[in-house]
Amino acid sequence: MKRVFEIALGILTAIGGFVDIGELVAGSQVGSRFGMNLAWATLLSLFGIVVFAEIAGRVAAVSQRPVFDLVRERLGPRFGLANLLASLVITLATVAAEIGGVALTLELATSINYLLWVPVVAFLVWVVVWKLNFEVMENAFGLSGLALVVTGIAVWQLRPDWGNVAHQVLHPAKPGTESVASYFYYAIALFGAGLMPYEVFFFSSGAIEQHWAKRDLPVLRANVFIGFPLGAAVTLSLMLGASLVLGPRQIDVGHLYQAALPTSVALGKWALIVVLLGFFACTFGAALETTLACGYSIAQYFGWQWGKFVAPKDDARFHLSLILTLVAAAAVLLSRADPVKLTEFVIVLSAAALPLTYFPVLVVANDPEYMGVKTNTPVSNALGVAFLVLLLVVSVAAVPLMIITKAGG
Amino acid sequence: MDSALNSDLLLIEAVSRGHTTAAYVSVASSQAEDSASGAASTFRSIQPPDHRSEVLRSDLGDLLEQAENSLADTRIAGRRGDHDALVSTRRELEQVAKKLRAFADQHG
Repeated sequence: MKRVFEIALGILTAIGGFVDIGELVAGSQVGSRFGMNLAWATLLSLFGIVVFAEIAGRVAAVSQRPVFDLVRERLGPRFGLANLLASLVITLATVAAEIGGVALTLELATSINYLLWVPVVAFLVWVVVWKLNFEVMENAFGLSGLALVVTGIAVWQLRPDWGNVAHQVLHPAKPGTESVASYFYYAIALFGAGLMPYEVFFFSSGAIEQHWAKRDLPVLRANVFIGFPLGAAVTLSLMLGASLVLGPRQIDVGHLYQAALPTSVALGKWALIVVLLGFFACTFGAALETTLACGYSIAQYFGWQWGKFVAPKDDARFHLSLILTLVAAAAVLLSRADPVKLTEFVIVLSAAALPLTYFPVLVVANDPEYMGVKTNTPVSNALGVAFLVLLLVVSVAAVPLMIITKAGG
Repeated sequence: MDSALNSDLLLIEAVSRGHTTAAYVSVASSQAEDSASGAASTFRSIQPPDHRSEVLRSDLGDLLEQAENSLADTRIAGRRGDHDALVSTRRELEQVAKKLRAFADQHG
C-alpha cells in the first residue's frame, strides 16, 4: 500500500506540475491555432522532464540531499546564487500565475470576481502547506487532478478523424495562416510549460520529504514513467479538444473559460463541473508545489532547516519564506496582472532560463562523491547532454521570438 | 473581435443544449465582451494616417460598435440567467460576425 501512495507523488507532480496553468493555457491556445501540428513540442518536453526528473530524484534518493543543496556545494555559491535568482524569479511568477488560475477557476464556478478570490486562495495555500502533511497533500490533489481525464473522454466523444490527427502529429507542418516565427514561439511556449524549473526542485525536495533511499529507486522510476506521461496525455487532450472545437471557429484562447468549452460542448454540464474541478486541483496543486519550491530553494541555498517533515518552530525561516512568497504572489495579482498573460510570459521566460536549472543537475549526477556507484549511465548522459544542447538553442531563441512575434501575435 | 463573437456563439450553442452552468455563462460572456472592448479600444487609439484611412476607420468603427453592443446584450442576458434572451442574441451575433468577415475580405 505504501508503494501505491508513493507513486502518487509522481501523479501529483505530473498533474500539478506537467499540467498546470501553463499547460491549460498553452495547450488550448496551440490546439486552436495549430491543431496537433505542435504535439511534438509537448512530447519533447515530456522526454526531457522524464530524463531530468529521474536524474534529480535519483540524486536526492542516493545522496539524501536535494539537488539545489548539492548545486551550491558542487558549483560554488556564485553559480548557486545565479541559479537561485533565475529560478526564484520565474518560480515566484509561476506561483502568482497558479494562484491566478485557481482564482479564475473559482470565478467560473461562482461568478465572484477572481480578484476577490486571490487573497482567499493565497491564505488557503498557506493553510495547506502549514497544516497538512506531505503525503495527505499529494494524495488529495494528485487524485483530484485526475478529474482532468474527462478532457480525454470529451475528445473521444467529439469523434476526431484519427487518421488526420495522426498525420498532424507524425508529419507536423506550419498552418498557412501562421508565420514561421509564431510556430516556433508556440513550440517554445509548450516546451517551457512542460519543463518549468520548479518541477525538478520540487521533485528532488519531495523525495527528501518522503525519506526516499536507494531502495526506492524503482518506485521513483515508476512515478516518473507513469506520472509525467499521464500529464502529457491530458495536455494533448486539451490541445486536441481545442483543435476540434475552437480552431474551426477561429477562436483564440485568451481566457481560461475557453479551455473548458470543448469539454462542455462535447459532454454537458456535469463534465463542465468535473473539468473545473480538475482545473482547480491541478492549479491548486501546482500553487502548493511552486510555493514550496520557492521555500525549498531559498532555504537550501542559505543552508537553513527546511521541509514539512520538520516542525514549523524548528524551520521558522523556511515557513517565513513561504509566507513572503504567497504575499508577493498575491500582490502581483492584486495589481491586476492578467493571470493568463502572466502565464504566457512565465512559460517562455522559463524556457530561456532552463539551462541554468538543468545543467547543474547533470553535473551533480556525474559526481561519484555524491552518487557513489549510482552516477549517470552512459545512456543517461547521452540523453541528458543531447537535451541540454536543445535547451541551449531554446534558451537563445525564446526572447527574440517573443519580441518578433509580439508574444505570439 | 471575431474570436470574441465566435466564443459567444459557441457558448450559446452549449447553453441551448443545457451544457453549462449559470455562473460559467455569466463569467464567459463578460470575458468575451472584455476581449472585444480591448480590441476595439486598441483599434480606435490608432491615428489614421490619411483621409482614406479615416473613412475606413469610421466604417470599421461602426461595425465594432455593433459587435460590442451585441456582445453586451449577450452578457446582460447571461448575467441575468435569462436563457431565452441569451439564445435569442445568437442571430444578432451571427449577423455582425458575417459583416465583419465581409469587411475583412473586402479590405483584405
